[in-house]
Amino acid sequence: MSHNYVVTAQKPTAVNHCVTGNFTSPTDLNLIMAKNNRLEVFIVSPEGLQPVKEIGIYGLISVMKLFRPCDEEKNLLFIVTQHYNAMILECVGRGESLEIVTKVHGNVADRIGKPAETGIIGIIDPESRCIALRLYDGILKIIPLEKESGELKAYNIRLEELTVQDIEFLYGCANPTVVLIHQDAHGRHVKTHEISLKEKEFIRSPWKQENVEPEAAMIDLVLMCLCALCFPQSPWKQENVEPEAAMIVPVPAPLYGALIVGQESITYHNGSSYITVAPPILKQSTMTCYGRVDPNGCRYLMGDMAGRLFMVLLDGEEKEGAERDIQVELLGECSIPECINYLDNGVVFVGSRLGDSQLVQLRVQPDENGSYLTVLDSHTNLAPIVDMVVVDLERQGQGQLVTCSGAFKDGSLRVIRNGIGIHELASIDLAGIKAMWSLRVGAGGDGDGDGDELFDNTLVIAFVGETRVLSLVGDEVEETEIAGLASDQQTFFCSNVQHSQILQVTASSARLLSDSTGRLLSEWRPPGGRNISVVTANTCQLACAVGSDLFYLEIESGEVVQKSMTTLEHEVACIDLTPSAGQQRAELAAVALWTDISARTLSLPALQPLCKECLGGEIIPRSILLAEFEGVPYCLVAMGDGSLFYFHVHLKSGLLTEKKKVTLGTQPTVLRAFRPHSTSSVFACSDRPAVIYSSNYKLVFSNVNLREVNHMCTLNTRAYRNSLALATDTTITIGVVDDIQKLHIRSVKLYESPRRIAYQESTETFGVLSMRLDEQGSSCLVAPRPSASTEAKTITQSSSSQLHRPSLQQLEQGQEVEVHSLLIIDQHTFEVQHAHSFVPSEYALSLISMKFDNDPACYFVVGTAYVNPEESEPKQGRIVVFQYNDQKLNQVSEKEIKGACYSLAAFNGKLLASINSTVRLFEWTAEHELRLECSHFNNVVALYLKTKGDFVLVGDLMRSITALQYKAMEGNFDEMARDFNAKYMTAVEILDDDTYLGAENSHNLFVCQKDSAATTDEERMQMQEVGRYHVGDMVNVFRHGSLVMQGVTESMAPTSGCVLFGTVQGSVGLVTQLEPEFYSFISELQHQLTRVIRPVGKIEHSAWRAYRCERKTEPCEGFIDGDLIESFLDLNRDQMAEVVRDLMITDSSSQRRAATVDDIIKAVEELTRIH
Amino acid sequence: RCPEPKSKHSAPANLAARLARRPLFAPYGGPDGRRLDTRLIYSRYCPVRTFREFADDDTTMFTCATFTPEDMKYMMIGTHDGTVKAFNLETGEVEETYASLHASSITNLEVNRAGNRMLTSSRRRRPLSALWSIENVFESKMSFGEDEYVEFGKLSQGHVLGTQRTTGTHNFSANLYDLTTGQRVTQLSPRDGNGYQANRATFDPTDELVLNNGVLFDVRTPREVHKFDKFNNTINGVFHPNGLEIVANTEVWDMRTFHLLRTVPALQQCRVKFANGGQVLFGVRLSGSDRDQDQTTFEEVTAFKVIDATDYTSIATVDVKRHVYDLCINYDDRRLALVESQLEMGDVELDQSCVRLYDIGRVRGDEDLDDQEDEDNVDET
Repeated sequence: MSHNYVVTAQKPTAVNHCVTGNFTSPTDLNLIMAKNNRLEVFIVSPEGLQPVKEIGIYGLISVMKLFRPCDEEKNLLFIVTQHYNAMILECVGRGESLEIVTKVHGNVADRIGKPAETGIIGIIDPESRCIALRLYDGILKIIPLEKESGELKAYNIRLEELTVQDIEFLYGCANPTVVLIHQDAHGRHVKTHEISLKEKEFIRSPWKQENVEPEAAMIDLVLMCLCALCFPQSPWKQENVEPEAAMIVPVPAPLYGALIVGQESITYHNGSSYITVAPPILKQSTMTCYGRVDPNGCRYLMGDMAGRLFMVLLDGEEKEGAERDIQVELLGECSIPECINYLDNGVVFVGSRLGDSQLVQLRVQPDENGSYLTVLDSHTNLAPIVDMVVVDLERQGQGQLVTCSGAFKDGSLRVIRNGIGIHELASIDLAGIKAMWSLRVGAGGDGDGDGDELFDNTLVIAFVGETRVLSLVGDEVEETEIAGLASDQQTFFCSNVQHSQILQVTASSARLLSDSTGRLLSEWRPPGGRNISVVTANTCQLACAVGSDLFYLEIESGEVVQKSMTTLEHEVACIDLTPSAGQQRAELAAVALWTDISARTLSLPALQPLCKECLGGEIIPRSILLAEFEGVPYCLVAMGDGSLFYFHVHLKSGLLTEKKKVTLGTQPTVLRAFRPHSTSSVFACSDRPAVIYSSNYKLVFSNVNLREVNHMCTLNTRAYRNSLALATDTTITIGVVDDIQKLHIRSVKLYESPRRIAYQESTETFGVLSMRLDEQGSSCLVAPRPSASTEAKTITQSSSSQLHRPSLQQLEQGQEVEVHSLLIIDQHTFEVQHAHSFVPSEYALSLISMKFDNDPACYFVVGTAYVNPEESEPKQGRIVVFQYNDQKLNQVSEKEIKGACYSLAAFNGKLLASINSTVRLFEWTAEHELRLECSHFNNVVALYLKTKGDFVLVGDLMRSITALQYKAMEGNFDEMARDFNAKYMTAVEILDDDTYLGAENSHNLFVCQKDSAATTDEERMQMQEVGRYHVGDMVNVFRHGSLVMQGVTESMAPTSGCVLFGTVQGSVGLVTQLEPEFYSFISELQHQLTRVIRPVGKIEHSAWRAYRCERKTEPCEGFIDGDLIESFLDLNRDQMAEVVRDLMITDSSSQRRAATVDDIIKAVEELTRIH
Repeated sequence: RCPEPKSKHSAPANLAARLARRPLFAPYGGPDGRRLDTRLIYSRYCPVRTFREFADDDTTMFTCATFTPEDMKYMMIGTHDGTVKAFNLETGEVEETYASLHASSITNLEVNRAGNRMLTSSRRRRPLSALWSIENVFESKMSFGEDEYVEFGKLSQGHVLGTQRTTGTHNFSANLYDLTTGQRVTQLSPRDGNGYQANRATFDPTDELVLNNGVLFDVRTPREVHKFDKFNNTINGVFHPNGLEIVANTEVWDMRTFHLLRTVPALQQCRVKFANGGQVLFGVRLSGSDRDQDQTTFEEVTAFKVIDATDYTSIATVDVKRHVYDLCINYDDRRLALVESQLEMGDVELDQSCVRLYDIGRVRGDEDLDDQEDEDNVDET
């Protein structure tokens, strides 16, 4: 048996589909993106895209369309998944109660049929009469959109045209009419079919002729005219359109007809006439997607594979005697688009799969580079993750992932680390800081000259028994004084407050100062001369506690006035008065007490107790905070042991509900609110500082890349805008926070396709194989744009004369050629130190950094292949050994090989290479040459190699995995075991000596085990498949390693081992092993979750995760879906209780008992912390 | 011949280039990538094992063979004397012998997908065909006295379709049997068949249609739907698993329009078997009595044909230098087995044929290249 837990650490980032419409309400303009199996719904607002909802679908989204049924005010969403589950979704409610309802759903698969080579196409009649799906060759599936139909009914119409390139519905037809481009032996043709929903067939038109000549029969003309009066569209066809025609754009009223977009030309056809343009700029690349700009269909945005954005204008006026005209204008360059959606006001969303998705503003006038595009915002995209390495660059015991992401001009490296990055801008050495606050003092603080923005200019820092003031002018810091500030006492609180005043609270008093002069205006002392123990304030209110007495005061001009006072049962430990969002005044006070360890809410100004929640245990609360995340009010209570409780707060009644607990660190924690990037967040200062924010209505606790923070305040000075001041034991660090997200991603643009990456510790560099596309010029190859390999500090080339390589075929001018390079990139600066280009047609396929056992030097080893496009497989290649030394890259050795070197691995101080169908081991001789030691055959194509000790795991093109053992004595490979199944591998990894992980191209993971205890050789040879899982994305790479700091929190979930994987759609996942007992417990939890969670689209969880390939479907086994397990935390308390109802748990004293909701929350939260 | 027009965005024909594009344009490196992979894999066959019977009297002749489904490691082989033997695929040893199931040579074997039933057919002495249980105990389940060829339903496998010859003619009835009741459900006799000498009635992939002697029947009604034109004398044809076409000898018919889609001369006089994935088809020339007697010029052919099932272009013609009696493919299209003659051309004695197992996709004899490696390096430099 195998006990694996697989979970997504980074959700897919590639945008596959995108639609706009009124989905969440009739007035909202929504943008909906499909990212692999996830839907993200946004509202388009003047401020940008506001996220509304994120939904996981149990299937890859192959089709996503919005449509508006007649009599409906908003759009419905139609989705078909890769496994043919269709659904119509509706959005109901608003805000937090917003819900996606599955109106109808069903599976539209046929048992027989050849899935179409050009993929699933789904289209919807513009008048919402029916949906048409092209799933299989030669069949069009129709789903009528009848009103009040509770189920999804579909029927097939035979489509004579077998190879359909694209299909769309035409506008303005009496019956739903499709127009399609199809291919046959003669070329590509365009044709229309009218669908009779009554007959469930195509209507055979009397006037549909093979060739509609201008001298068409009179009767036909009359019929056509008659029909044209009522409906402007009637069936037509156009044979032999451009041989590369691949996209149809239906044109709405008043023009009707369709645009047919090809490699070189764009044709507008309206049934009776057509016009074709072939502007030269089209020729370089093919249009892949379009977005309509005007509702009347005059303007279209089109994007091509080179990332160019065009405006296509269709003349609305049909001038007398003159032909309608199509103009094509190049607007500029954006990310390589997958989908284009025009939003509003000249703003366009460009969804991308190979680069970052962008929000682009169309300009009226070109900028200095002649581009009509301004990028407003971009959405990070890791896809496709082609390769990656796990390294600990900062030597903090925390792995970082460096990925080869994107392709072509959007190629980049991405550095991914868990937690939020703080970029240090400045630091001040100061020891013993207790607390600090930023202030605006004097005339310099009121934001002169720069609009309304107010800048801080002062830091007030509390020490034991004293307070010091630092003024910040520009990037100069100097110690200063404020006249009225009590500097001989430790400040408890300090802030700018209303009426241009500054409030300072010390143990003895609350002092009001003028913010311009710094003069003391008034002072309030607690009665009886007692000392203030805790205090908080906002701009107009103040609350302080003296022992168990609580005072509420209001800040008025020139004085603070006590409004009420109450005595609580126990001493106050901490207090907060944060007003709810958008308000000046707080209506609730939150306090936490000593002794009974409780959190309470009190009304203001009366200080009436509203609610009390006991926290349990004996640890004192250290910090309490009211905070609103995504419109949901929370109360957070941080404890002395680094744990944190959080509640929902009802603002009117003060009720605290849905208590949850999380462990952040091990030391007393202080909570401070801040607003980076206009989202509300909380900074938790402790030995494991964290940022708390909300995503998708769920609190996220994200570590910060700092060791320890004692105190923090926000700082917004002219020099350090929107910064944070962070105090440690010895220093104040001023820094800015990265975008708030759980994984922090940094981009290093290469402007060419990265293929492989390897890390070399000794030289502190990364080796990267990359590919750029050069064009054949009049005499030589020309790089069309600067990129990493052309801009490197030093550049070398393999000379083509010294190689015995097959002669290249003659290149035409303008033809694109792949040029592969080895880049050496500095690990600190990520600058390209050196680029070594291989000759054109030599593909660099594999790369490792390694040492040989008889040589202390560290080498980069590259495996290549000479690719002749006419051959089905390379026959020659090279293994080249490079050394990077003193900023120079030298070729140390090369070895000619008979095939393509797909994979390399360091193995017993020797070099292991997979070359076409063979696995070969090379020794490193004293003369620095590679010498073949032994080989293994018995593969179709050996693509992947992983090693462990004497073991080698080979992943084959189609024959799954094989485990080999190297016999050093005999000098050969012994085939130990093999998985005798056809599997098209995409990545392999060794979990332990007997257990192997594989990923194959139908998006499945599997685990195979070698059965060493088997009695016969035959059984030993046969690997047992012990784990199967549909991961729903193609895995390109596996790497051992982890993204979280190891061994910090004491009670980590009982997991062992961690393999990270990167996928085509840009997600990062991990596979880890659970102990059998814990596995069965989590497995039971998963079962209960599937019972309670109603998935959108109503696809069974078991069907989604079942191992599915073309030939068979088998139930998921040996794997637990961590994404489902973690969704437990998104449930409300009632649902949680429902899940937990039948669960049993073994507690610390080995007793079996019924599990409580809190047990499960704790277990699941621990699991979430492994990534 | 000119290369086929290729789209600019198609996957590269060279595997190394295609694999480099695969992470970007998953899962096959672009349009046509899957076909190109298929073509590469199905152009190569590497012999791995031979199944032979070392009988004392040297007279066992293998006539047909079939793989058992997944998880069963056997190869079922029929002999000229009506016996079926189960060979262990890995060891090559005979594990079971089911002697004298028929009185004459076994002409066809089929094991159902569940792996618990086997159909056998023979040409002389009744019963001509039979259904056997091969689960735990080997026993006879049903006899089809008059049917010289039987096959399981393609979709449900709860039915068996038999081909019954009207004695001495080339007229055939197709008998449809229900396995649960053991009764014949329907008999489909063309009013005017095409008189194919080696006619085999066959189900379409949905089990709703039957093609018998050039006539298409709807099983449910049951009625004749269409009669195809006769282009040869021998072969009735089979349905393409895509449910759209019929491959009958060299002709490919569109099942919906009944138009002739194309002609594939390579399939002349070939029995056609599709790979289970439906992506390729294999053709083996008819042998012995099945062959078209009128075609006197017909040569013995020692090769099998591999054809791309999407566009019917040839992937490979694999010459095994021996006469091929039968061909079968395993459940996941990873292996192929041929019943190969042992005789030299022109021999007349009884053939002691063998079954040879091939790995699909592997290069033949790559070990040999390795030995030359070091010498080559010297030569080249």
